[in-house]
Amino acid sequence: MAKDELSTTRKLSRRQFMQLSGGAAAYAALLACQPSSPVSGSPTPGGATSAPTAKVGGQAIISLGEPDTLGPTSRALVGAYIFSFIANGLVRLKYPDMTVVPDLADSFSPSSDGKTYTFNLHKGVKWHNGQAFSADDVKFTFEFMAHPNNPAPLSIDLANIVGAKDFKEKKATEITGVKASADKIEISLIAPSPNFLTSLAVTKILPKAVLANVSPADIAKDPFARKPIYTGPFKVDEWKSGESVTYSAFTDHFRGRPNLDKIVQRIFPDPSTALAELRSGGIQQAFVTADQFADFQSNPQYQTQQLAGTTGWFLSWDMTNKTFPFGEKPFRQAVSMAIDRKTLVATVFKGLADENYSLASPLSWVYNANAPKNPFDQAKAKQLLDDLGWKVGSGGIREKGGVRLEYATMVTTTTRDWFLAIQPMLQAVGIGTTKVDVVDFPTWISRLNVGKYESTVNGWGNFAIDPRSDLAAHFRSPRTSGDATGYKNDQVDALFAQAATAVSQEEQKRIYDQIQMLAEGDAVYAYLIRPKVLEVNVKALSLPQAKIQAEIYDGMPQWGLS
Amino acid sequence: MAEVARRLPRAAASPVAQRRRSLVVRLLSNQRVVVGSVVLLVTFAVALLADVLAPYEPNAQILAERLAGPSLAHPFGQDHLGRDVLSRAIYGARVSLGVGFSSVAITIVIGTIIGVAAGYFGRWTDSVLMRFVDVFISIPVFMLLLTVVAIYGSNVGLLIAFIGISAFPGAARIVRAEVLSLMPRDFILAARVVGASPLRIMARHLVPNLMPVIIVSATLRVGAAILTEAGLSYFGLGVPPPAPTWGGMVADGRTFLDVAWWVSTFPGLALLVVVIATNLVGDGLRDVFDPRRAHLT
Amino acid sequence: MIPLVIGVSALSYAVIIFAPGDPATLLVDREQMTAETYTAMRIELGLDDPAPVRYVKTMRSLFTGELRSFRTKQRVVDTIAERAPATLTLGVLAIIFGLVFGTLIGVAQATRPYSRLDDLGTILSLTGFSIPHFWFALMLIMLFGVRLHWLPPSGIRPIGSSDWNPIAMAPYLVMPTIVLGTGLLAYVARFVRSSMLEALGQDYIRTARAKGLRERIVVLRHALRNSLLPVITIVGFILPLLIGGAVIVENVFALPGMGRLAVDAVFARDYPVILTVTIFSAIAVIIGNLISDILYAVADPRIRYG
Repeated sequence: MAKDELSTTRKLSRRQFMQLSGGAAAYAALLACQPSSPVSGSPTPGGATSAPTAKVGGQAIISLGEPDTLGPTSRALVGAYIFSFIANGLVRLKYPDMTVVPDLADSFSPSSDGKTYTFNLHKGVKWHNGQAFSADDVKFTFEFMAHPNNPAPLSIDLANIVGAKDFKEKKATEITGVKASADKIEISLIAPSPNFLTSLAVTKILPKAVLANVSPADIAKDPFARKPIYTGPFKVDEWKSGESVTYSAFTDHFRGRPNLDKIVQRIFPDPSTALAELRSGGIQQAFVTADQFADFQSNPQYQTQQLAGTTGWFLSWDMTNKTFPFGEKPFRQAVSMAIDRKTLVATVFKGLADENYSLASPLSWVYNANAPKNPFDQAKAKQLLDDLGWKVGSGGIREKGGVRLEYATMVTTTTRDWFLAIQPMLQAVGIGTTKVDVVDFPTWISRLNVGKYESTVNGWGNFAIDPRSDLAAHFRSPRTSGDATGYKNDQVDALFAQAATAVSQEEQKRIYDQIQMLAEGDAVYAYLIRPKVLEVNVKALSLPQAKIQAEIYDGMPQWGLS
Repeated sequence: MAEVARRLPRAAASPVAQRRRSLVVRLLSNQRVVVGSVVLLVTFAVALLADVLAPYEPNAQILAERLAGPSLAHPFGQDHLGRDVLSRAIYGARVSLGVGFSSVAITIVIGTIIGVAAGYFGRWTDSVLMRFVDVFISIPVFMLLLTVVAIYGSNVGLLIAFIGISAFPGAARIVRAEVLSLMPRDFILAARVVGASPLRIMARHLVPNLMPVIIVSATLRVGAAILTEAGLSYFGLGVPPPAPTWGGMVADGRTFLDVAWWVSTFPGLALLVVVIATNLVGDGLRDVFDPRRAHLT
Repeated sequence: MIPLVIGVSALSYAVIIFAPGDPATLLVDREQMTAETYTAMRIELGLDDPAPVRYVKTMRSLFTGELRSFRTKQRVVDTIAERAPATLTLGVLAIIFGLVFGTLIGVAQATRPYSRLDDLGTILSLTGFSIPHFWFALMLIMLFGVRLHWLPPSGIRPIGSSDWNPIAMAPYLVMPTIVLGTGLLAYVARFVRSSMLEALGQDYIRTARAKGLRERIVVLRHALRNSLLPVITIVGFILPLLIGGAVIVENVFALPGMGRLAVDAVFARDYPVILTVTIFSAIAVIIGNLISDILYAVADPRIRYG
């Protein structure tokens, strides 16, 4: 259930992107100061190479989770993977550095005041149904999202477009700030925004001719949700519920046809079945666990790639709890120092994971390598707990004022065994951890959202959205969704407010660096590991080299049979 | 044999005592009961003596030795956290049998109360209770159980209660049918004439004579309950850690089936043998008590 | 039947309505949940009405076909129509498999009671009955799918085919049928064995033998005929168990059936889907029982209704 879990944890949607507020720095420029990363998804020796020799034609069968819908309201992470090869935005994100590059727009440029963007559209683009794409479709897409009938509220980025608010409130019949001409789109903003382009990248353009008569409230109920029409290199042929989704090459794609004729995505509820299919040749590509990976690596019939871990896992607590010292920084630091990540990586993950010390991915530009870390140091962990007044009592469990330091940890089936491996490490410094609450994902997230737990193993997937929102989602108070930790640092909040109005790119980076210095210094979480994403495909199929999982799907047109 | 078993309860006095004499002899001459009982008794002994028998602490991890194969030190190998599979299988006997027997106890108590009440009072009590049972019996139990456990949690107590409750309709039907066949008999009529209270009649005359049916049904259900827990474990909803159950161990080990077969195979075999044993005993008991009810229990 | 359906739906509804945790929180993006979107979602899901009102509303929309999945927003009846064929096919095959092989094993055992063959039959059927479905299924997959390459490890039909071609589908259905049908097989074998043994001791069999009929004819024509009839009732009684088994079998073999739909719905708290699948399966069980009653009556001249 790991796949589902991740997808719901991220609950990625286009709207998420648009929600973030920020300063006026040009996003791409920020990437210049991206720190060199200690983590990398290097391909294994003899691993996959990009596919210059790939033949045109043939099909590949892969394993991928079932999407909720293929319409624009998809909330599943797998939906984002699929959109990357069936749909297009005006611009797209280049992985893994997340720079904005042209897509349906050949070029784009902001005005000198940063308030007007002009996009020159690619000529001769066709929809999957053969109709011609035009600037009207772009305008339609914005009006579809800001439509009064659309149940989603206006996102911050959408509201920033001139006239969008009036359109939403039925005061206008169009969004005046979006002007379509023959092969140009001009978008006027109320205030300059550094997130505008990123939010565009996840806004997949919709066909006006197909959806003009569909109410945005009913889009998920429309046949479009099951067999959509976009402009991407593959089009959806058939979605057989619970069985498979078939995609075929869109030969009229504006960047040329993809190599493969067909992609069949099979849906496996049980990873053991997918594994059996991968071994028997029933599917040609899948992701496996560290335990199986070595077997495939040494098998000449397969190619493998080790991709960077996009999800970081950590222990977190309800800091508002009055019985246990979760609200005290030295306690949280002590827990972090009790965890022997090196052993964890070497054993449970067979070396195929990285130690985790931060919320931000070390691959992303916001990452501050100098932010405080609390690495393994058992002696210091014990010292910190002693200093807090929690003294070792009976059975080696610490006590203070008659309370034993023995609290419940909420885990899911995915994180259960990882936590079991950590248990003895915590026990070693006197923290009782035998109360393990195994719940399914919906229960976990409901309880997390309302803070109805003591401690939990939590995970956060980076690279799904703007890396700045990774930080905001956890460190800014009040948090936009349910508040899992109760963490609040006024200085951090002030910095987030400052970032919203910061103008220069250096300023942005400086502020986010500072946020990490403070929040990571508060040891909000006890970080654990970042498991690598382990890709396996049969030798006959060649995949482009990738650093992160999203690239695998983004590069689908380059897949080919050799 | 069958004829004897059917006629015995017709005696005017409560027939329990008379029947008991020959029962032991007949049970001992039934090969299935003997084989099954021996297996169950051994498993019980293992469960009780787990602390003595298990070579290691069942939750003690040696992460460096995870998924190590069978060896002299670890005859059943080690699992994905380096825990000794043999020790966990031994402790698993305790938890699996515990879940099996306690949930069946719940099934039987509820089933007997409803069955006896429906059979004894008849009329609207019977209709209402049996319609309720009909509703329960037409819902695919496992689906309901999955929903309930996912929603309401899977700590051991709740799990036992849910598994126990989910099986009650079958037990209630069997008990009711038996009560209906006992009601016109002389010893019940006699008790009624004397003016015994319904509660007394049920407790003193009905329930003791229901025992054969109850015991057979209970024995057969223990295996089913253990299998149900295994099925829930497959979806991650079985008995939560650290307590090992056989079903849970098989479910956990299934992802390593190709790289470490021992993790799931040994607990799986233990589960298989014990469930077969409960079925052998149940079948044998039924043969001894009353072969005609074969398909009802 | 209608009161039963009402009872089933009310019971399933009750299970769901007291659930802790709020489906609205699952469906609204964590990132963007504000009081507004949350309230909008609750209204859209109809979560703010009192329970009986919600029950009636839900039932009405269920039977008019307008009930929609929380997650996919598709009409639940459409999804079920898409998923039912796989489960029905699997169920019917499993029943046939269980009946045919169960009877064969039972008869073989009864003709040589207390022999090695009898013991073997008992052990075989008990094993099939006592093994966790998922474990059995995975071992079959490992052996016949991965090691020997005799059968496709999972799925219901070849990739790319969308029709229900029995010949193309046959290899895909062998293992699921065996796993699901083995429980029934064990029941049937056990039952046929004991009722055959009983029948073979009856007067009319002795008469038949005394008349000098061949043993084969005695066994097949006289004893078996009278023992087979009650087997039909076993099928009716085992249907709920079969559906429960299908939940696991469909998950392991990645079959697009209703059992999987139920599991997916449970783990997404997609209550309309859970509810509908439960009610539909209960209706299937009720109809199955009805059919087995009718078959029983048709086959047995002694029973006359009305």
